[in-house]
Amino acid sequence: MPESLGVPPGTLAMLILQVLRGGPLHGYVIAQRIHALSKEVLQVEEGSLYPALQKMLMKGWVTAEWGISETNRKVRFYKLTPLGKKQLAAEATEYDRATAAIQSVMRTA
Amino acid sequence: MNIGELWRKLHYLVNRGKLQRELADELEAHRAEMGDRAPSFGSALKLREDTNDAWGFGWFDRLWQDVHYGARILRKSPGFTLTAVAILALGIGLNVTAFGFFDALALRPLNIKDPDSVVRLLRAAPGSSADNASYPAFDFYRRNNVVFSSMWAVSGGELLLDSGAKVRARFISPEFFNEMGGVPLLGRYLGPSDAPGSVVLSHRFWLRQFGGDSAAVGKKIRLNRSTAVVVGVAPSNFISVEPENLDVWIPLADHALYTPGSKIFTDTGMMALRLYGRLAPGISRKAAEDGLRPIVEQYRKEAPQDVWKDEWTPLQPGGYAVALDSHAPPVLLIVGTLLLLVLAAACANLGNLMLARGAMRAREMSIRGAAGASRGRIVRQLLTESLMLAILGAVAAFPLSWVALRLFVVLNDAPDSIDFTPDWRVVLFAITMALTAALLFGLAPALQTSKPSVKRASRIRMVLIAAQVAISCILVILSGLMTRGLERALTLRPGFSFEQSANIYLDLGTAGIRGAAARLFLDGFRARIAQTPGVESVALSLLPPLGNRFSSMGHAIGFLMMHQVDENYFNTMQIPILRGRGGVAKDPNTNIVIGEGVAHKRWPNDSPLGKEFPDRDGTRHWIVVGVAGDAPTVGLGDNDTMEVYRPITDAEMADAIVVVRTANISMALGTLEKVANPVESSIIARVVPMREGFENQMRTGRMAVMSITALGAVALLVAIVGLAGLISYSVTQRTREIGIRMALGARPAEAIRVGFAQLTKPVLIGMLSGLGAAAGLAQTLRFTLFGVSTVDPIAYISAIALFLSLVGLAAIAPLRRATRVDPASALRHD
Repeated sequence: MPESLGVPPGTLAMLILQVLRGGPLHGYVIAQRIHALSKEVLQVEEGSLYPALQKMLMKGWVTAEWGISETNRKVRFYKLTPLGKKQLAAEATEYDRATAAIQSVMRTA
Repeated sequence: MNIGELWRKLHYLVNRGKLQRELADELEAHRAEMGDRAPSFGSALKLREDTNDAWGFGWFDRLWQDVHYGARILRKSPGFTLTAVAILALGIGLNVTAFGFFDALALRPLNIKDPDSVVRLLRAAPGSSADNASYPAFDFYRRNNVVFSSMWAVSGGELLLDSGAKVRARFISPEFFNEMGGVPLLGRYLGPSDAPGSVVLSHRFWLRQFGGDSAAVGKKIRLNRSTAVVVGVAPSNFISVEPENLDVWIPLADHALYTPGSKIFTDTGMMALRLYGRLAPGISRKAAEDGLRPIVEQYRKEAPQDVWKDEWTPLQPGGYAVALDSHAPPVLLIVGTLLLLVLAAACANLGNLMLARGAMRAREMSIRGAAGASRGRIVRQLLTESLMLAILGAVAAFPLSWVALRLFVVLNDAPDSIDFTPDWRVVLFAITMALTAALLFGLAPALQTSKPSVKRASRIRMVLIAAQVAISCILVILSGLMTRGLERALTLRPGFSFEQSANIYLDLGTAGIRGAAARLFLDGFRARIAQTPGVESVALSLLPPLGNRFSSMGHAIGFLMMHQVDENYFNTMQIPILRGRGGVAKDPNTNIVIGEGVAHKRWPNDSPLGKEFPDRDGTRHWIVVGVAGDAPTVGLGDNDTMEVYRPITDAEMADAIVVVRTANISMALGTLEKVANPVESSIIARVVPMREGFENQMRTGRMAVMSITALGAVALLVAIVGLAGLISYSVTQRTREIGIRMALGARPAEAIRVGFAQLTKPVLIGMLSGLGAAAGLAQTLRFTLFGVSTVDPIAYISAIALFLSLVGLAAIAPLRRATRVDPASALRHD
């Protein structure tokens, strides 16, 4: 198995928002989900996951609520807010534009 | 940042501890979910810092860290901390005291009803101005104006108890107490319908005279041989316009009761009242001034001779202890400047201390730098330390300034009711001072310490030294100049004698005795006084020598002080007649005696005797019959005195002062008072020794000299200590160099030169700029110098000599050390 990569800078918030679209998740599952959906390429570092979640709470993109996990542990579930949805749409568009631009440079130059 | 985010941040800031615990729980759960795989949290501390940054108060943490660290550093060197706080407390305390004083008097409204709508009415016309007005004018304005919702009048007076003790009284119109507001401690206040003889006592008078008797209302007191009844007592915190420590308030309507025959209500020329008004709602001060102009014009018809041409009534804010006009007195400015200079000197001194400390902390700084602290972070840390020192200094300044203000109040008999407790303005001022000080003494050393550079260090040090030297030079020179001025005022023969003389005030006009009747009364009075044992000479004058009445006259050759006197005046005041004669009484309308100053100015090369001297508008010509020695009896400090004496006329007799010279005033005073106030007379005579007036004129000067000298001493001390430290420092630094020079056969003088090497330039620069600034500032102090030149060489040279000898004295110990350097040990010494 090839070595996992870290999340590219500036995209962590967008990835978190994206996986939360399906419903509230707690921190561990968010990291797992990103890892699985990226076909085990992207590895979210816990050291950056929680500060990022705190920042998103502050911005009002997500809300948090304590609940019980499948493994019966007390965990915090993060839920997307309407503001967060808007932010996700904006970031995704930006990201698509940037990627397309980068790819066209990479192909032609 | 939107509002929601701001709220969340605040919420986080408040609930930080709980949130951090929650985060820890969350991480714990995460770890557990991961099972045996190693978590990649990295350092828990780093995670917490990152989270805090996400919450948006990383700065708060860092500030807290800086404060924490700073506190430890300051605690570690208590000697330095105490010195620094003491220096700052002194510098900031002086400024806070002065500002607190200014704030209480001029910025804080008096605690009366709606103080901001209260105005004081003055009188002005081109070339003339006055503070007082007559009762008929007051009554006319009160009845006819539409700009005030209310008007009232106040008149001061001094009455006598039967025991002869003086009572400070104020006559007031009926509106007064209602306009001041508040409730009496006992009884009631005066109003529109009081029985004749009603008075209200002040709290202090009630304590003094009635021992605080709660049944004082209804009791009688005797004032000016008339019986009055107490109707009320004001509380101790009662305050009114023109705050002053008073004894009684008396209805203006009762004026004649205490001054029999008073013409105050009918005499349009008797300017005895101070007028106040309360602006009607929506009327500005300017609008009220305009609205009063036509009223003054209408009043002219009632009293054509007592209204000036183009007279109007400027309005002054009345609801403050001191009305702050647009032309703030220059004294205020110069006092403020000097105080700020002292603070600047203190900061410069402290800056040097910080610099030296920074050099000692070089190791600590390099460790912090190596550990990854950026330069900005280190500067911020050092500035936080400075700020903490400054805030400690400001906090310590408050008790200091409280003591100073209390002292001032007690020494100057300031009104008890003025509140000198610091308000938000004073606190804000102290904080501003602390911040400015912290930047002044902390920034340069912080920049230097965070990234040492030998060249910059010596440059900063030089600037700081030069600043201290300059400031202490300014203060020492100014205090020298003012001391010389005071000395001169005390020793100068003023050109007349006053030590054993007195003025007797009769106020005949107030009692309705005027013209020929007044002359008749005064003839008898003078004869009685002249026969009193110990009296050497008696005269009449309209202007009391060393009193506070003025009468100057604009003239082609400058302002003349016009004296109206009788034939005995020159003899009584012992003013020499240099030429001609002093007998001005003959033919009162044409003969005058002029002072020497006038003679020199008008006829520099000619005898003035027999010459014509025109009055201001040239309509009248006097013949000069004599020249008297210059005698500035009104303004002692006035160097360019220009006096003119003309005979007193019958019309002026009512306002005349009786001037008496005795062999010994302290012995004669009691007898004089008795002779001047015979039991059967209704006229109250007040005998005031001229010495009192002299002391009053000197007091202000003496206070000013004392304060500037104290400031100068503080600045000088601080500068000398700083210089001594610096010499010692440079000697220590160059011990090795001195040792080598000595080993090569240098004389001790060489060692001394090395010790002083770094100092010569900044001391010289500081001294020169100090001299220049002092000469400039002295211009504004001219009026307290009593004729001493603003560049008086003695003051300047002695200031420099004092300064240099103190530097020399301070340098002795380190220089001795330098000359005794043992070459062998100096070379071994690292």
